[in-house]
Amino acid sequence: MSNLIEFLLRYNAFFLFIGLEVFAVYLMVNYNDHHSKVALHSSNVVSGAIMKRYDSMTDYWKLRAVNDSLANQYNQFLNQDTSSYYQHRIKVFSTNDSIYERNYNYLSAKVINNSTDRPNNFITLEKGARHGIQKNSGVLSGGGLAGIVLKTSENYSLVMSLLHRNMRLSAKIKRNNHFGSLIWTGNNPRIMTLDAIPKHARILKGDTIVTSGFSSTFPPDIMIGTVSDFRIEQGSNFYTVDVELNTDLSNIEYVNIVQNLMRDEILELQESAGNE
Amino acid sequence: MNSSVLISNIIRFFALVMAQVLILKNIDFGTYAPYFKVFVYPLFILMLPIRLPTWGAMLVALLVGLTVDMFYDSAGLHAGACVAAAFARPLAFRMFEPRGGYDINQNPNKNDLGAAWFLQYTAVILAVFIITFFIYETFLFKDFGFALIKAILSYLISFPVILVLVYIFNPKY
Repeated sequence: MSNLIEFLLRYNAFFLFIGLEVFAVYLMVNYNDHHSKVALHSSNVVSGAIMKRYDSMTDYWKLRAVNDSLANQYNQFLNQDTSSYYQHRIKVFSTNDSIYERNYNYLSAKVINNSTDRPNNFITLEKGARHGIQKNSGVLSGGGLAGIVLKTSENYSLVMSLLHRNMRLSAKIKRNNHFGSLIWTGNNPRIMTLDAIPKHARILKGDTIVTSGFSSTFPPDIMIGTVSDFRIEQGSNFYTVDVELNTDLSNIEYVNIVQNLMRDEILELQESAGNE
Repeated sequence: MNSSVLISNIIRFFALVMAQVLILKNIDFGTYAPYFKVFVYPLFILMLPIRLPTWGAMLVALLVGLTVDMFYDSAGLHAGACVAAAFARPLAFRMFEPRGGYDINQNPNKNDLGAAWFLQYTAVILAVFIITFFIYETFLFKDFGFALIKAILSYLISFPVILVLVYIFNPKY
């Protein structure tokens, strides 16, 4: 017995080592899966409080990662939302009439991109060639005009907005049918300029400006805007008329595309005249 | 002399444990996170006075290990490795014993025993610590070859960190 005690004392470090390792293994086996025994876990009073304080300090550093994950999640939700799906429905309402032959057909489309702040503005629509949208079709919005279709792809179309430097529309004063061409000078998104109204025409502020119907793009007599100001430039024989647009192009959501069913016939005729 | 040793060890205990659980635990190695574990708190066990008996060193090591375990949510894992490191201390002392033995007032740091001695001593104890640590971790999570790679990489990263700390603070006691 005394030998055993002597043996234990002589190798005390080794036996303590074994004992402590067994204790450690016991802890590993017993405490790591049992959440009820929280004394040795970070949820206990001391380490829990320290970790909480520390966490509140370092939350800031994690913001980048948190932002990324939120952005990803938001993106995921957007992908699930109905707005991210393409609608194949094509709404065309038409009637057959034996007295009136249909000349214009209208399609509605949603605006998915738009700008008004650049020198040359464009509108992108969520409908394209397969819905029957053709190049050079007119685009109406709310109570007025929006632009002219410039290009179409399978499902989308690009519209040259009224607010484009190359825009040139035939328009007339509704009251007396004097016509001129409507351009945008690139300054104010609410104001366009009507040129080439002859000097002898009577113009009043507030006169209604409508489409002339001379081009095959728009039907006649569609409201464009009202005269806000007019003047005769030095040495010119024509009025320069400021037209306040009826529509605010900066907030259009849906537009209507004009399909002129007789356009080909008109163009053919005009071309044949040009050839002679 | 004696009280300054005690005080510096107590300060070292808190400083190293805090550094471990508040800073090193939160280092994000991204994809490589499982491979790199940086340990600095074994430095506390390394720097316990030479004259402290092994059983005392092991009990203190158990205390450090359990404290760190509280923050890592790994009851017993660090404690087991710490006890093994403390147990290996006298063996390392004997291995690298200078001619003429140790002075009663010498402490295991590079000021008292030289940089070469400290380097070898740290290399051995840290190896014991990390090998034990990853053996226990594998025993818990069962993936052995992986554990070996982790142990080697963690050793390669912890060793220089500990040396840098020693060279920066250059403890006398």
